[in-house]
Amino acid sequence: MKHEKLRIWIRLLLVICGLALIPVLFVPMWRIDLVAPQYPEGLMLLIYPDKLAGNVDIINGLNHYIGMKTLHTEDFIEFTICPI
Amino acid sequence: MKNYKLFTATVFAFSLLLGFTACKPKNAGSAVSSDAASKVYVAPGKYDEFYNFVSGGFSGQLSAYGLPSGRLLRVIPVFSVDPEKGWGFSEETKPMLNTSHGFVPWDDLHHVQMSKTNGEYDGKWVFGNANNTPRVARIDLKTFRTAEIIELPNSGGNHSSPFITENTEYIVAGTRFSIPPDDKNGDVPINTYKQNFKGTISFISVSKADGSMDISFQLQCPGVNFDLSRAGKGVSHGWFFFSTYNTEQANTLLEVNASQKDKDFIMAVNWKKAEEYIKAGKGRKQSVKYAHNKYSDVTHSATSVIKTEVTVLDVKDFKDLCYFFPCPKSPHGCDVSPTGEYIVGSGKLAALIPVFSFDKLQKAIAAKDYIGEFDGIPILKYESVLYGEVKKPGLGPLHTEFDNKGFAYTSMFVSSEVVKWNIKDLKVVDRVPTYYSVGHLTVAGGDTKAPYGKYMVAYNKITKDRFLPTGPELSQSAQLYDISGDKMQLLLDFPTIGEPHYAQIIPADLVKANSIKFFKMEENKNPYFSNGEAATKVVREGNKVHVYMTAIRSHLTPDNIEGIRIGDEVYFHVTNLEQDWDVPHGFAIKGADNGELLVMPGETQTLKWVPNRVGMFPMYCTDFCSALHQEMSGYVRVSPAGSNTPLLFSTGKNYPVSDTAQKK
Repeated sequence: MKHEKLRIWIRLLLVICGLALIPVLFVPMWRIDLVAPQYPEGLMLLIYPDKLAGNVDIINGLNHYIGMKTLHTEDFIEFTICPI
Repeated sequence: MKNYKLFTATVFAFSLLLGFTACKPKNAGSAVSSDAASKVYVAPGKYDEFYNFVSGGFSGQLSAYGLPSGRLLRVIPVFSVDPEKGWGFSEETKPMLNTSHGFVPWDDLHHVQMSKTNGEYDGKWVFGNANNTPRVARIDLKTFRTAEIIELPNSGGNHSSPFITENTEYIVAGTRFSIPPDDKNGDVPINTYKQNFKGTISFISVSKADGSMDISFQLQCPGVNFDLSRAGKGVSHGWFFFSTYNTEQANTLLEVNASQKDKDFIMAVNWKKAEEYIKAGKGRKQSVKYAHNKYSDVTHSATSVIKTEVTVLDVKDFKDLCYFFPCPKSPHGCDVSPTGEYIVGSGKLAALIPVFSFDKLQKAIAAKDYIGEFDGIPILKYESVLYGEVKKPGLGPLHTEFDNKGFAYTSMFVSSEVVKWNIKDLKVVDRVPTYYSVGHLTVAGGDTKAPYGKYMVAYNKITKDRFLPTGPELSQSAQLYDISGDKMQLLLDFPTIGEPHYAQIIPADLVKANSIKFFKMEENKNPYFSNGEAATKVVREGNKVHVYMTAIRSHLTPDNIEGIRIGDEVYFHVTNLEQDWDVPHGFAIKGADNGELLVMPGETQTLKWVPNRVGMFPMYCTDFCSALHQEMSGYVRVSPAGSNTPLLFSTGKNYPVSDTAQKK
């Protein structure tokens, strides 16, 4: 098998791609927008690699009275296995 | 011939009809021009440009309106209880209405003053006076609730209040009814007014940081009626002006006996001088009794402290503190122009408006241009202080406010109109009728160094036919005028709460951003706070039972309580666990002889309940909070005195025995 060295620009590109992944740890991976007549400004649930954010408390309050379990960062094992 | 007779008769009948219609007073409808509607239209969902804080008179309340729409935004209990808000009914709010006379849940709120910085509104607080049992209140515009009330000793009818200096250094409170001082025997014949009665003016300091009030000192003045007042500003900063009447010192039939003299006085007070005397220790400590009440948004409760001392300066002992100058016909308003140069006096029965000059006042004082003394206070010569008189303004001038273009607006009670005149040449330039008998009026920022102008509102004493009739008592009426042009233009009538006296108009931008949306749970320091449902409990201490309760959409915790006995005093300490805007919960229980609670998110409030019969008592949330609001309820079981029903409390656990067996 013939080994060919990666070209320098491809190596650089790989490094850049790798570095570009770092910000992913600090921005939400998933954003859920909720719309209701009583919330003209909208409600937002933000899911980061390591936590829940946005209007979690308000959403929990609303979910509570339709019988949904409340959302807490600690209840999701996924948040603990992320690198930060 | 017959035809001719018929014709004459017809003409006669027609002219008679015409004559009748011509005699009828002009309908107010004709005073409104066609574009008025578009000028007051604020589309649904849009905000008004101004807040209008309006005194509620004998309702003891303060109301907030939006202008130009005239929409009622909020009624704030100040010297009153308010069943809608549980104010004065919850254990936490009751101390706000405490006085040296005990719990006084009513008063007569006349004047409204916004806090000021550099002579302009800063949007932090509104102050109001209690006329009957003398008090001054501070309303916090972060919460639109009464935050502090201070009682005034040595006072009897706190009318010339709560007027304010240009940096809110002091609020004044002058007594309308002079009385013997509190440390003297008041059990004297009423007709010893001249010997025994004194008029007291309080200077209340206001803390820049949190608005806390304190009676800094009092001036003991001759026994007369102090009616209204205004602080100097700009060039006259450091001075205060008070109108007086009853300088005849009558103690009966004042409408005759206090109208004997052609002129009463305006009293000019050099308060910077008074400050110096107080600092130099010239004040006399006087033993008194007054309540000072404060509400905390951290403990969510009020405290009332009885204080026992004030520092008094007897003005006749200090020759450079107070000066009288004559003002015709029992003056009411004494208003200071935006620059502070002119003081406008308004004699209630006068047919002219005297305008005094601060500069001339200073010169007259320097020249000792006195015409005599009144109870040891020098009286300056009218002509030496007078800048000029507004001739033929109308009848019965009461109050004057100012715009940003050099004009003054004076309300005329007797001739029921507002008159616009030029401050410099004192010429009347316009007049408009009011419906009917205007008392106070206010221009947007009209008492500041930099009025906004644009709108003027007249607050009328008589309503009569302005709205649909509602029996013998009618709502009061305010009228909004556009004053941006040369001519004043009537735009709108709107009903008000109680009797509106003074009011203030402030740009909404100075207030709305500070409005808080809810209280943070983690900052709640109420001793009966339940930090979550897990913290709820019922604790018996002798015959007192404390229920630590929480409310969240859509249940109360606990919602089943047993073991209450006749003879118990039950305290429901309800914490609203919500942390979102506009989700209050109410709380009421059958038979409670006081009221309900209305608990804001993150707040704790307490309702005292003394059950007087054995049985089952439903309790529920009174403020529609969610789709399952009707389910937000519970029961309290009351057993006979001395019974041994165990004290039990729970939510979602108290099932019938059979059901519990099935579940297992």
